[in-house]
Amino acid sequence: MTAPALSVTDLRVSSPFTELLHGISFDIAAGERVGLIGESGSGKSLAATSVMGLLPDTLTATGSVRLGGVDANLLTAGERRLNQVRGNTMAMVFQEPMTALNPLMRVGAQIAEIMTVHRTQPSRRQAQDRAALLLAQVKLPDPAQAALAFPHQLSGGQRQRVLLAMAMANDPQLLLCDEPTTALDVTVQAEVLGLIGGLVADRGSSLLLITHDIAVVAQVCQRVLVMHRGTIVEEGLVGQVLAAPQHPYTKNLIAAADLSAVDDRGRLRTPTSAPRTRIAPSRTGPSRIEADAAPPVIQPPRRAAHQRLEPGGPPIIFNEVVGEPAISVRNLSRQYRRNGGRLLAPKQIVHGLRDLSFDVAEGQRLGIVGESGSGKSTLMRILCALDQPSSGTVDVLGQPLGGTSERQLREFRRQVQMVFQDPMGSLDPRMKVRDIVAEPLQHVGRAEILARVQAQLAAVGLDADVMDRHPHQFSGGQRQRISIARALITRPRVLVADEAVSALDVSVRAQVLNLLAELVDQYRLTLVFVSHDLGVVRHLCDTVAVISDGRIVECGPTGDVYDRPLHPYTRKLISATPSMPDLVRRSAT
Amino acid sequence: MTAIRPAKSSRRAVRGGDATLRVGLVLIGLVVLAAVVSLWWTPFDPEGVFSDLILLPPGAEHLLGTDSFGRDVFSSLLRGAQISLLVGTVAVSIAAVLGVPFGIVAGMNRGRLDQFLMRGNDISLAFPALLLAIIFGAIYGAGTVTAMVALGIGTAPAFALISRSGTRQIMSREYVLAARAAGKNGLFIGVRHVLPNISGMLIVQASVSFGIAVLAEAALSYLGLGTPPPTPSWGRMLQDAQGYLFIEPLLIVWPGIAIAIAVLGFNLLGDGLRDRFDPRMQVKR
Repeated sequence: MTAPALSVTDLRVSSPFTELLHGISFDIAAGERVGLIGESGSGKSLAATSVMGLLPDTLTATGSVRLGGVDANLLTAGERRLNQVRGNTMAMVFQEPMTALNPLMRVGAQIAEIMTVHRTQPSRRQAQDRAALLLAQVKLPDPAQAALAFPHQLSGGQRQRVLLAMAMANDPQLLLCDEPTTALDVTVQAEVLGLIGGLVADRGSSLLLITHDIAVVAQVCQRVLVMHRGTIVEEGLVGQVLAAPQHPYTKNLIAAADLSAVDDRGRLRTPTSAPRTRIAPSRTGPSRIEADAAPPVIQPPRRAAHQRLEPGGPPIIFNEVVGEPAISVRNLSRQYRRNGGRLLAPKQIVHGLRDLSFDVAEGQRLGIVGESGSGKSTLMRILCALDQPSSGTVDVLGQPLGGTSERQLREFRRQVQMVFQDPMGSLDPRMKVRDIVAEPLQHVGRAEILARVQAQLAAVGLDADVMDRHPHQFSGGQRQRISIARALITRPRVLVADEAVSALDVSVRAQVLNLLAELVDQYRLTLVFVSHDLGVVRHLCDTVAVISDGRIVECGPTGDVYDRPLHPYTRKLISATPSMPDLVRRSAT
Repeated sequence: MTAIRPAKSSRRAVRGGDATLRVGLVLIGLVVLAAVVSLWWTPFDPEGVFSDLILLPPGAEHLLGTDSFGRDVFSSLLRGAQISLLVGTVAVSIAAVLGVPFGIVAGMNRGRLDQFLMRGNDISLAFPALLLAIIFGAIYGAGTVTAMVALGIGTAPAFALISRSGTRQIMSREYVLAARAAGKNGLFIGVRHVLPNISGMLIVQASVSFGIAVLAEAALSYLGLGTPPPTPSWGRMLQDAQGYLFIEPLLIVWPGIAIAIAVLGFNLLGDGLRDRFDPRMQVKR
């Protein structure tokens, strides 16, 4: 066997206070594609930055990192030696393609620079020619034109292709990708992943792909390393690890990622297999608000009609409800004015939403699925009266929205609450948890506030002693629990969740999803769940609307839409996100 | 669902700004100490005139010598710290009280109101604080109060600018959206969400403005538009010493050093605080 392309032995990384990586060792053979998976804080990105010699000065690394053909330990090599290797023998693709590119340089010049710096092309002219060739290889349409573009003129997926072209410019032996597709839409993600796999295979390069997403590894890699708390807990062929994980952590991780496997109560398996405690009953007793809530009518799950938008066809009222729907949207449009590209250019009109009509029945769980820029966040804001429709009508719980004053919305605000995506940004860092959770309460006495905050924190599974802490002292999952507690404290009838679990680790995601499902049942909420993640929506929602380019293109019962998609866009979306059993089957062959 | 305890907050690495911060605090500490001590004790009466002991060189009895009226220079320096700190504190407070609400209102109401307020702010920015103080002195008569008010008004636009930019950042955060979704009005959002979260930048701005105000007070007193005699002020000590530059050059050095220490102290404090607050505006406990 030939020498490995990358050999890492006993790599330890320490901060001044504690050791972060506890001696990890692995080899990557020439031409091998290896995935490194782990959750946030597991040290997977530290491993990559150590290999590249890009560790921040405050951290120290020991051990050895050897690259095939380079007779030096990269951890101790000088900056000059490293510069010869980086971008040449090994290259890296970063997560965020916007910040990894120089915004003031044409992308073609940025790619050519990599080659002129390492003198792999004799002249600038030839480097530029090759840059165009590389852009063609990463399948950018019209590569000659794309080379003259600035990064902000390209889409996220196109920028990531440019980064990939830069990384492959000098035919590196080793390509490191750190979460290369996490910032991308699902359909784009699939294309970029395919491209990475193809390019690496063509050149016989080795690949180290770092990600939190098991599906990504399964699509590209042959072998997988599982990291947990600074150590590699399991490694093996992808098919084996997915089908028969050995380490308990891997088992939990795979179980949590699999949204199709549920227990007899329809809940996901979570890594902490601790016994489930009953949700503590509210200590306030039957409060005024609970007393005047409508008596729960357990409706038989209403099956929505399964419809699609025909090209050029008439607008459809999706999921039309007979009687009194909780949410009723008719011919909703929202346009924005955006500054033109050039100075003094006339303002352009951007269509956020175009002629949307749909209903949501009381107690229904509607998932809204779409990619970035599809208008799903705009729709959510309008439903919460945080944005105004340009035209059309929106009625939520009998309250018409649009042009209504904040005073008229008081009752609406109590009954419609939202949960946001970013568990860091949605909680004020300067406020204590008790104040955050109590924020939506109006005209309630101090003692009752305290009691209700306590009860609500208990209901989302947090100790009462968290009340006097600040948000930064919590993990992402815990913060999202606080967000949910804040949303539910007014006992709303409608809950709007915007990508509520997208920023969470898989294992935590399962817990938060279970919690949401549990609370939706308990409080008999009408749920509107906006997400780009089809798996999550399928698990949580009974009805799904697929939104693309400001229009609902398909809507129907979740199972029907997933199993028999009518619209080509839906089909594309579904095929881009394989389920866990599919992955196991595919990687085993 | 089992109860979950909050994650331990991670300890933060030592920052480079800490040294700056410490030096700044020590320098300011010296000035504050001088001001506080001189409330009760100075070696000699700083306003006492001894015509037989004029222009003495530094010595055992008069630590830094005496000036042209025979006043003890060291005592005057200690007492002068009071005026400097008083002017700085009052001027910065006036500036913050005027500028911060102005900036927050502008930042929270994007559009016409924002444009209107900020163009007005730009106009007032065009008048330097020192010029304003000279004009005020000419109209209302020179004095400490006039100087403080004028410097306060003159520094307010800087506070308005920085509050507005901070406010606009905070307004795009999801917790503000959450507050709006909870039906909270603008006043609540401004006071409970925006103000605490921009306080970091405001503290930085305040410490820098403080240094500027101390310097401006000295300049005004030097011009005869600040603190009236006989109250000792560093600026007027400079002016008095000017006439004896070739007879007793040290007289001009002492107040100069005092002003330099105070201004440098506040600027270092500002820099140090900026390093602390800027990377991530988080609560420090």
